Amino acid sequence: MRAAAVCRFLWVLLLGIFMMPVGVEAAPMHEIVSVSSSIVEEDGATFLRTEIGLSKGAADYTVKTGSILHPNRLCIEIENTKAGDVPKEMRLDAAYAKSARIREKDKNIQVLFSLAGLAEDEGFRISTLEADKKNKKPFRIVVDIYEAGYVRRGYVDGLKGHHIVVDPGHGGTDQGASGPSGLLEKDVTLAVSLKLRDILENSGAYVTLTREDDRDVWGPSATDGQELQARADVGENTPGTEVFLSVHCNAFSSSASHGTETYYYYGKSWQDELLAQNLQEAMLEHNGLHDRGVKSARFYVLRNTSMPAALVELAFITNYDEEALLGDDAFQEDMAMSLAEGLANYFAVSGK
Amino acid sequence: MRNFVKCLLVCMMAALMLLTVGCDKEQEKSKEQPQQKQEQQKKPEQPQQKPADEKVTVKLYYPTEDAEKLKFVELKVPAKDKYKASVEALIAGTKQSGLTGIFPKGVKLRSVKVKDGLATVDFTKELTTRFVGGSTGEEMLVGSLVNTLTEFPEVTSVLILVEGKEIDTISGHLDTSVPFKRMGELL
Repeated sequence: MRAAAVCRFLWVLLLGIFMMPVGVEAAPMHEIVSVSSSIVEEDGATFLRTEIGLSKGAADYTVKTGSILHPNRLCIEIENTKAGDVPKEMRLDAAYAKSARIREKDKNIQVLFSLAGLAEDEGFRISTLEADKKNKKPFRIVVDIYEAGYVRRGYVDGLKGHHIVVDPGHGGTDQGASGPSGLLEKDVTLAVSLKLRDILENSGAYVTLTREDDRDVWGPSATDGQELQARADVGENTPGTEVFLSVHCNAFSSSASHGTETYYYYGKSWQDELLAQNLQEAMLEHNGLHDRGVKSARFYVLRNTSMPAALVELAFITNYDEEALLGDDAFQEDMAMSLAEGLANYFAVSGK
Repeated sequence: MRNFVKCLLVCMMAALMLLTVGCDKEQEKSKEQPQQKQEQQKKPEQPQQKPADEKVTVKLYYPTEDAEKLKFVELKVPAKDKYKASVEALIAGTKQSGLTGIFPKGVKLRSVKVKDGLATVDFTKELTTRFVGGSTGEEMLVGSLVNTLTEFPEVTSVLILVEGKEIDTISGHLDTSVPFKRMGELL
């Protein structure tokens, strides 16, 4: 009788031990349901695109490179996932990557790419695609691999890990300046800032925008001071912000004025002027416009932020030629690229 | 031959000047122009010889058309109203070639008071509501006002008000909540 009780106790205990992990396991497992690879041409670049389809929507994943033993290896580890009925080994186009392999590691799946070149950040890009019910496609993790030595568009070296706040000037009820053909400053500053964010994020930086669409940052009923303070506050309240960059278009009563200039607030720190200089130089290198120089001014968002800050004036929206440029998508992209380069140069010379 | 051409050119220019002055319909504004010309020709100055109606010569700073700098134009104004007359001349703009006005249309001066080195200049609401200009426009507007008023030795700083109240900014760039000192970098 006693022995039976002990036996039952042990049985329950054992059962408990076996059951426990199952009980903790609340989230259902993802399953890889498809893997496909193809060569893609986009924006003048050619790359190898691999789409990894997952059964249950978005999954957490980490990207690992820099293995000493396997310097060419790009590893994408997808959490809480099992491999479904998909090939575990794939041969790819050797110009980009020799092969892809799927292996289980604990409860995760590792997708290992053996790249043609060293696995470096500029050589690949990882993004996700939402499930597309119409075309019967599941949620996908997308791995784009570029040819070895290819410098990817929209990647700038030296920005990885940096924290940047970008402030698209004006917005919402405040349209900023306007051009002779009706182009609005608030639209240009937002377009350039969104492009800049993409480049910065693509380059491994952490970016926060003061606004991501056409709106007042504080609110439509705010005073000018509240509105400007709300922008400065984004810089102050975003942890680790190293640089506050405000993007504007210039304007003047005479259409004769033209060119590019950058403002900083004198007397804050030596980095402010350095930041402004690097941004100004990079912009001029790209746009070739008249150099109006780096200037110190008591601008609200520069004076009321504690980190190095600069306000760039891309060009004059009140000048006919420059208004046309500011409204042009390629020019906006080029200016965004120049600002990313200017930031990278600043980080390099400021030793940050 | 070259001298003759030069002479002809000078004559033509002089004739043109006379014509434009004569043709000017806006009589009020045309008053400023000949005075300026006289003033510029009257070098060296004669500060001792104060006219009976107590006029003083003031330096008015206007932005260049390319908005790179501020340049001054001299004007004789009544001594008792020198601050008011100066600011109103800035608002009116200038016809001097290469220079331009930056104050918005419709703005009026409400008052200008000078006390303990601080000039407090109060404008109507059009200063902010009808302002045309970005960072540079703001710099030039504030710079032209501040540099014009700080030409008076008794003025060291300038505070801008709109409808009697302090303002945070004119169009979202410059922080106008505290007085400005002379902005020499724009000269």
